[in-house]
Amino acid sequence: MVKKLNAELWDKMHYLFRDYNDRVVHAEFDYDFEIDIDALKTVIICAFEKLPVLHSSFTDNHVSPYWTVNRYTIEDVLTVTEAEEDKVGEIADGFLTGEIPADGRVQMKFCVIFHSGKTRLCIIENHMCMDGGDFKYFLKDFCKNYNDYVENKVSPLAYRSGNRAYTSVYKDFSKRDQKAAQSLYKNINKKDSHAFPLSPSSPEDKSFIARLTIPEEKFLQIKAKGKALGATINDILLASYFYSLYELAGFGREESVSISAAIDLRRHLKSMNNTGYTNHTAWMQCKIPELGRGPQPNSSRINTWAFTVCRCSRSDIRSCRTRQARK
Amino acid sequence: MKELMDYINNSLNSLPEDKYLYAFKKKLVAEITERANDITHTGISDDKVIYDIITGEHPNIEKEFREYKGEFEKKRQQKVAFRKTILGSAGYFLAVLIIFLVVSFMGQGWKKSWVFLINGLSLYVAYMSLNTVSLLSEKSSRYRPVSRTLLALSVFSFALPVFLICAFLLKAPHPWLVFIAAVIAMFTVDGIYIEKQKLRFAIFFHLAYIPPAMTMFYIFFATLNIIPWHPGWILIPLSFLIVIAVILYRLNVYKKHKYSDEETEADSEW
Repeated sequence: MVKKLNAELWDKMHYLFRDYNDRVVHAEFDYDFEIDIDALKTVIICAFEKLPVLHSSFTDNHVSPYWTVNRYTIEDVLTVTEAEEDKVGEIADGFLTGEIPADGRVQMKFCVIFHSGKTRLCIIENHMCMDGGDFKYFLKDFCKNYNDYVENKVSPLAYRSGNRAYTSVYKDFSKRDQKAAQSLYKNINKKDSHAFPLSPSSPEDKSFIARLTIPEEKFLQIKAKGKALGATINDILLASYFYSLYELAGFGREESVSISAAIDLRRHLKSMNNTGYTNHTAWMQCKIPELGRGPQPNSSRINTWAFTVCRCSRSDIRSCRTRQARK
Repeated sequence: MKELMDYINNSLNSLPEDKYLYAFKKKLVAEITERANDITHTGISDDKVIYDIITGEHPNIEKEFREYKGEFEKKRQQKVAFRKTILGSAGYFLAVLIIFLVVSFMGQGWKKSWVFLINGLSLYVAYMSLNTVSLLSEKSSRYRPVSRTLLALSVFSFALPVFLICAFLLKAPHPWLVFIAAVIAMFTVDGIYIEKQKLRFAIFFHLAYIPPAMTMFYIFFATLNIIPWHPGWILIPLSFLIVIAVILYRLNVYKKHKYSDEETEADSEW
């Protein structure tokens, strides 16, 4: 009998945005030992059996889309390879920039690269199944299950399974807060004349991953400087992102640009025990009138000699979060 | 598979053996065998893991059996209820016919006795409509439009006998007002139904009903001379103002709402 799963709101939204957003979530881990492949296979299959959306294909029914649970084998999910040290990065990036079709048989894939007694584990996952926030929790559970299985022979089945609906974000709201959140009509979407793609598409286009490693010492210095000025890591990253985008895309300093900042709505959940792995992310539009200036009259704007940090007031963030949750 | 069979038998050994238990065990064993084959096909060879996966999917086999047996009981009760409805309907129609004939022959009131026949039929339609609404309300929300239509039908099916009695038996003035009152009753009943069913955007239906309900209200009470026709007509534009006021209130009521959550340590960290 064909088993179907509900397609939740953000499952469908990510499908709708597939031509504009990167629909793949990536993770990469380096280990200084060789992973037990047989154990890993068992752990992966158990994860897939507990989370059937990971081996489902999305059916784009215009009235009511849904997931269809598929039969699969471990070969559909896991690729194991050995490589020379100088080829590891290339193979990893090739895997990480791969596609996961929404109508494919599986929605998460693993690649294990053995090199010189070490292992690089790469994972890609369809954003329609879970966002970065829940992917982080999933990976934590995944690793714990692997360790328990290898060390104590405990069956690796400890995953959260429950409601994937976006409305579960409201369940711990007071009735008044819930009504208020669902009644928000404030328009926070600001028009931006810039849109992707920034240049015409070409058959030779290929996704790539740009990597930058910041030494821990420097990171701590940046963090400390930000704290002294009242800026968080996210503020600093956002400012860096603005500067990078202006430079890479060739925008003029006087042009206004907006960037969507993701907000994890799980902060509104007191307990996630009955919540499945899903998307619980809202978007806050951060728009600056020109490079080096803050976005709104009621924002605090902090200038330093290195970068400008722009920060919205906390009440704006809350109203943006719940507005997006209501959507 | 032996461990799984032991698990099933141990879970059900406290229950008396009957045809339902036998059929349930047979069905469950087939399902579990297929499931175990599927899991093995995916690539797991560890029997303990397969056992844990399957027992995790069936944590309470006794409860599953009770639900399985309950389904049969529910079907049996539905058959009994259906037979009772058929017999009851036949008995009801017979009773209505007998009353009609007795009233007609005994009182020689053929000119008026037909009212009992029509009333009997109308009340039956109302009863069956409400019965169907009750059944559909337990099912999927896609049956809601049908339920709401049947509720409206039942209101008018109740109104028809009242109208016929007022018009033909009591010779009351303005008997057609019964249908005006029925329209108000229909909006009220529908409003209560959509609230109970927690229909999304129910507020829009409530707002849409206010002007026509107020119009009917005006006609009803003006005809009975309880309110004057003029300036009583002001109630109609007033109803539109009420709708606008409610919309504006709803748009603004939460504008300055202060949320009760506090900034957490996680906020300041990142």
